[in-house]
Amino acid sequence: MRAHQTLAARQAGTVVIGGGQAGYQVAWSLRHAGYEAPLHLICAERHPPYQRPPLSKHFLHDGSDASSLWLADPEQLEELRVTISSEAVATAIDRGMQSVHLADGGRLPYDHLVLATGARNRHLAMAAPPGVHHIRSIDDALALRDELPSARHLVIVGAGFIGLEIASIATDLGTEVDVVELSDSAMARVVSPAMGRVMAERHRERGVRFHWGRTVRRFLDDGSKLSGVELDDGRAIVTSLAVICIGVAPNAELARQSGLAVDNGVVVGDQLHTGDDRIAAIGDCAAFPFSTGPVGTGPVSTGGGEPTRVRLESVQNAVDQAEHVAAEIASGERVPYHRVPWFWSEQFGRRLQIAGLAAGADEEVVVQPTSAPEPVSVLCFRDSRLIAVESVDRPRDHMAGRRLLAKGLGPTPQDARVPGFDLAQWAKAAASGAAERAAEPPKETRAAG
Amino acid sequence: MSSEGVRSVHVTIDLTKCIGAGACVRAADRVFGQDDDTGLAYLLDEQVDVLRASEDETSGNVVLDGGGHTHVEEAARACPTRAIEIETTTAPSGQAGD
Repeated sequence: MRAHQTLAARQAGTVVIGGGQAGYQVAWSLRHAGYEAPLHLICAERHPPYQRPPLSKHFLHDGSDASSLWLADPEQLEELRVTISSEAVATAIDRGMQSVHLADGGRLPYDHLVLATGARNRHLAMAAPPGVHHIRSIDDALALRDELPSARHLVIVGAGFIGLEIASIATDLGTEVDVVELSDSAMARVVSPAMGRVMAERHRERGVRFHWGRTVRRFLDDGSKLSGVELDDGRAIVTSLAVICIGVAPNAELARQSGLAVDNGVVVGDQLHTGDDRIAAIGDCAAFPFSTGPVGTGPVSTGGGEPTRVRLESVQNAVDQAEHVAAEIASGERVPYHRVPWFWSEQFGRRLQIAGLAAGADEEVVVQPTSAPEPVSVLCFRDSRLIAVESVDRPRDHMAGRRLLAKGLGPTPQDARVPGFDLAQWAKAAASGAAERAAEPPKETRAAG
Repeated sequence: MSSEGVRSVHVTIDLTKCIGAGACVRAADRVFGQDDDTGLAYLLDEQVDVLRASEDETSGNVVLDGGGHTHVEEAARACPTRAIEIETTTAPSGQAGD
């Protein structure tokens, strides 16, 4: 009976709403896991699935074609046997009938539905004349790329990853850059204040001007186009080009309308399912339970309440969550999702890599092997436990960080402060120590807390 | 030996760009590996005629097996930092055979 139902149900296949990195990866991983049922990808844009990270990096200056960003060429998509609806909008989910309604009147039945709807840019609540840009899509990036080479001046609103990546590209192109940031540190949402200072200094020494604790009061125009940006302290910066990079909001309206829980994204449980067993949510749009414990133990709730939910915007998160959901759909086996988040950025030729989430850190230790400002790593701790490793041009530290965080291991702040401390070496010593311990009879090795 | 020649792909990994995402290994695990210590990508000796390996770069030739998809191109596309450059060449018959 059960087998019969499964067989019949398989005919509808899997529908993925969202043709970004996460949505594409679901399709790819399903096929590579031997999934044979129909696969349908609903894409909002006119482009096939593509990579977004380069949009604020090399794509802005190297003149490369949009097709260079595609995650798969048409031949590869055909091999995946995935049906793609381009410039399509899902308007409703009929959970009872298990079908997705499209704006063009189409209906797609599903056995499994994956929400990979992504996020959209936040805007400033004010009129923005031509010359004010946002960046999220290929088309956004092409529009900015057209204007950048002739711009003498660029104002960037927001000192996050994307704002600072654009600042570095524009500076290299010879454009003067002002960065307006509401908080008092760079990339404050993702990196520690110590790393924020390291990176901001790289920008300052290249001539980037920061306006900390400031926001935009209004955009000035000459009747047809941007002519300046007025800050909330009354100062005006003359410019004909500005880009707003103040973060994103999750695309969760469809989930909300379908009766699914939404709270800073589509709320999912530890297996990335929504309240509806047939519907998962992944990537930028999903708010999932997160813990800093060792991978394999599952998210832990702190003090009996709900576990902390996070929503991450990264390639790692999109790909790992997509793989997780695809594996579950293909195999029917359910296990908790638990991976170490990692991020990266490129600014002025520096490779910044982050393992773990630094939010909530109460202690930072800066590890510098030489007297030069880089390479450098910042180790972030909470209650003396390692929760994140941020490194500039120290890939060994980054990788050691990923491995240690996956095991729930790490040095103490006291260990890290010893002159000459090297995280990669510490990790190796810890691993060989663990191997020795594993050879001994099992015993209680970890104290609680 | 076919007179059409042997299609081979020249692969170069720019290690200054690599961030250890592992996307290349996922797409083509017979061609790419990932260093345990650094997470950086490298070319697997068994599959690839590795020509050069320096601090900043590693490169080599992959011979496509009889029209079969080697997924090397897919790996290059999947790399989030575009650290992998590929160049397809057709060598005259007899040069790349065993």
